[in-house]
Amino acid sequence: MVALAVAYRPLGDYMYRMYRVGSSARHLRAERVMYRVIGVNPDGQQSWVVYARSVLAFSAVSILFLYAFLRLQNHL
Amino acid sequence: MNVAWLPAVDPAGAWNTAVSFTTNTNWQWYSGESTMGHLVQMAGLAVQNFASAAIGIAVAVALVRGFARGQTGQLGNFWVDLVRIVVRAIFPYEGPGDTDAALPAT
Repeated sequence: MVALAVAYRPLGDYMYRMYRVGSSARHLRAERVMYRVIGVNPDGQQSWVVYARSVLAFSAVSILFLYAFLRLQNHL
Repeated sequence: MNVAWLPAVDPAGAWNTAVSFTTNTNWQWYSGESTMGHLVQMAGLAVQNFASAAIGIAVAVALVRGFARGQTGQLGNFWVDLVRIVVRAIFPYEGPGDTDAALPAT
């Protein structure tokens, strides 16, 4: 309870900065590098359809990658 | 990196583990060191410990945005959320003089 009382304000501010979107968002240098590598416009936004498609696509690719990884581990 | 010369995981077990770790279920039916090599554990399972947790947080944040915002169908960007959650929440990194609060508007 004490930890929560002490942390909620700074932590809430931190989370607000982390999750804000669009033109008010700020990007760390390391993050900008990653956006450039994966080809994402960091200030662009998605509708729920596109957001959901991104989630499912990332999960599907992750599953297939991990499956192949486990199946091929004797060759790595 | 497969120093123990472990064989490939069988198809059913590999699929079980792949789906489980991608969905952050992390069900460990195997006995770790004798089934998965070090490379798989580091570059496969440990990566998913970060990525699948970030997916869950991103979806929760997008849900909150959906409740909180009116007059727009925009929910933010999944890829940006994914990078930020990993960099700032799960693996809290801030470069020298490079904190979000200090960054100028661009």
